[in-house]
Amino acid sequence: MLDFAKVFLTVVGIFFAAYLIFYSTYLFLSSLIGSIILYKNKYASELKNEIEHKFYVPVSIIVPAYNEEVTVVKTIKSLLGLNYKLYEIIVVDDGSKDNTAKKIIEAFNMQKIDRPIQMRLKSKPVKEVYETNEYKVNITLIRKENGGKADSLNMGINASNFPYFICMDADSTLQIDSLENIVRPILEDEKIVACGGIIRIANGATVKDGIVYEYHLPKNFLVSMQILEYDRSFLASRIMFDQFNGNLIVSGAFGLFKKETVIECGGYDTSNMGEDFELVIKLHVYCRRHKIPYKIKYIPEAVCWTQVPDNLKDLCKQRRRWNIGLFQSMLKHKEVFLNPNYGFVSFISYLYFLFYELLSPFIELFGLFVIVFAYFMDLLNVKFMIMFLLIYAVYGGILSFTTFLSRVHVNNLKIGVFDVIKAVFMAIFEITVLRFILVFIRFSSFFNYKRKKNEWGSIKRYDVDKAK
Amino acid sequence: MELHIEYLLYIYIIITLSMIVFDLFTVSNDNLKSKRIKRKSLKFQDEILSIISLDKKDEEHIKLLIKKLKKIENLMAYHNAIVVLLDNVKYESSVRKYLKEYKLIFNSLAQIYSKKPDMYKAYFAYIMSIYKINSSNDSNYITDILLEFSKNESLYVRENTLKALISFGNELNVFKALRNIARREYAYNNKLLCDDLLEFSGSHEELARILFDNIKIFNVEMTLGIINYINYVSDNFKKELYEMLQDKNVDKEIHLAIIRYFGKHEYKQALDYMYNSIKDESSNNWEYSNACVTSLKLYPSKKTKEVLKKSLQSSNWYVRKNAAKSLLHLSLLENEEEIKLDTDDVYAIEMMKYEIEKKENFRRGR
Repeated sequence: MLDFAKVFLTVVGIFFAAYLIFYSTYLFLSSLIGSIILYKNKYASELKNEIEHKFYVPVSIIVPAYNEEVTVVKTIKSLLGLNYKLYEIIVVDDGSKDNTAKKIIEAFNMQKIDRPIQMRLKSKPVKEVYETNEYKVNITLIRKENGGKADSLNMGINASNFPYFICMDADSTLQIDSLENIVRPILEDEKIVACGGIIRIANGATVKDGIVYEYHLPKNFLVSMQILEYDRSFLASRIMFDQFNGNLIVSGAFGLFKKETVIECGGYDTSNMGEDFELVIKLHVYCRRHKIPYKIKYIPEAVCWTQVPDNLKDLCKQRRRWNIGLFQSMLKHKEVFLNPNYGFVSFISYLYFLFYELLSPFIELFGLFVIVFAYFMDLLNVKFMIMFLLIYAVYGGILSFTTFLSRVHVNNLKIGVFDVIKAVFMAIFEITVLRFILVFIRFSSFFNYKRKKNEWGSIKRYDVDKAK
Repeated sequence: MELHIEYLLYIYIIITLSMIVFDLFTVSNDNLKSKRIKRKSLKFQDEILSIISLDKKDEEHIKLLIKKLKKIENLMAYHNAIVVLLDNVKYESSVRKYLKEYKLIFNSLAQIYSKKPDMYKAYFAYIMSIYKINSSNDSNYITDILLEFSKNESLYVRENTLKALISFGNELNVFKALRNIARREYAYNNKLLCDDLLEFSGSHEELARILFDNIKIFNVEMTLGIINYINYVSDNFKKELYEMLQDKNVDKEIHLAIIRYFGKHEYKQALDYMYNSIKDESSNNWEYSNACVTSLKLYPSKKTKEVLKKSLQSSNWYVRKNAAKSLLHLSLLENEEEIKLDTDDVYAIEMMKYEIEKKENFRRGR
């Protein structure tokens, strides 16, 4: 029995060693490449190595809304203030139970109109359409039967007049120069079919009319930890994946897409809870199958401010949705797994999401089980284990802190010494506390997968201007 | 077998700690740099103002600036100083005069920066586009260097170079730069090209002519940009463009751009082509039909009305939509009843109804 346990623990040890080596390398490379690219972009911008143009690419901004009466008017107002000339705003009210539509109609003096909409993508029926041309750009409000976020986005695509569209959340605020920045790569490279912007956490920032006036790490620990997590996991890793056209996600809170390509590949999947993730994998699959040269870019200069959950309950809801969406998408596009036709997308991006996102709760729980088993078999070096975990925590914390610092610096955000000290502690907490909470949430999401299907993910909303 | 994964982590920790040191160093270095540039910029402002007040050229100033501006940081500070002075109405004309008088400095700098990395070349070309130190008839060292820059692989070097040449206003140099780009088959977004050309400070008519006369050397994307540019600046290309429209070897996108040209610049000889294109209802022709029904808004006649009304029943959504828009634009139909008399096509009625309502809402809104 003891021999068997020794062999078992050796094999498991090798597996975990490899698992951690890959993950540590991934974290290191993403932080390093992320920081270098951010600095390089900043310097290039100072030396005017960028495209600045008046000839705008026309863009339709699609804002799907469900029970968003608190924030939607402010969101539209902020969109009207963007530094851009040629765009339209399409708000799709997905059968809200509150006064979302009424608030918009009153605030913008919208007129009801019998507008025919070409249903190139399947979507729930339209109830009413309102329009107004009294503002800088046209605003359209579509009231439709409830069908979920993906369904609303498909409706928005159907109604859009322009060749590119932006999807965003009704509770998010685009920074004043975000549209200009996200469109810029299209002028440089026509192969681009999607561009993701950076999602920054609005809790703690004073953002008014798309301009950041003040920035601090918020008092709320959970939010602060998410800021560090966003910087490390989203910003740094997406910049790294961007280097080999391997991004598998363009956030639903802010992304630009080429309309025709999205329509050709079937639009958003209404049965998927991670419609944003699924769409991007689908674009990879579609373009590679049809041998269409394509690029999916990540633009860290295009900024969208959004609110994140400030309590554990909302965080659980959000992360469950993400995890179920991830599971559905990866299962649907399983052909990408170890498929040489997909190159790095298959062997780096897909494998990363499979082992370090989707399966990691199981792997980490298995790790805990093995520790307990080894302890009872008297085969565990407790001292070594504690030292190892400490080193690992410090390592992860340093990486999070590094990316945070790079991001704050290159975005010219002014933070105080207190914020820096706080960031150091939060980075350690994030890797030692939040990470394990998220593992549990992701693990549990598999058990209520059916029950939570097709719900709108809603968290408690605040006025972004006042959110701190 | 003993595993020593902790060693790898130690190495990572050392590297990441050095990353933090690097970050902190870069942050403080950046702050110091921006303070330095600010200080130097103020000094340059004083220096330039004192030079402006002199009656004759100061040779020392030339020597000193050539020496100083070799460093990119100094060039950035100098440029900041120039921008501040140009923004001041009081100094604008004298600073422009100063820049032309001391062009020699930039001749030397052009040579120096032609040997520097692409990022610096792009910056040098950028400041040339702001200073506009060459006029359309000048041909000098700076122009020659910029024409060399137009062969560069970096998009930003080429883009800033083209902007500089466009700001100088010599059509031949702009053409030469575009020819360099075309010969090397560099990608050039048509929107970007059109936008650049619209900023040309010389004669648009002459630029349009030289580009069109050499249109065959450009690829589809660049040709599109040039035709779109011509669409904005000249109505003297109707005959030539019509000939191009009839050439079946020409790319579809270019044909569509030409049809749009005839939607802005009236050319009755193109009418039959447009009517016939609309008649062809094959599925791969819808883009032609769509462009034609849009352009017909410039040609009011009984025949146009008939063709557009028929297009309201097209199987293609965009053709129906734009036919309705053109009909309303020409005030050929003012209510849906007229359509109802002719057809029971629900799509045609729906589209017209929407466009009429939209027009009404627009009137009310205004």
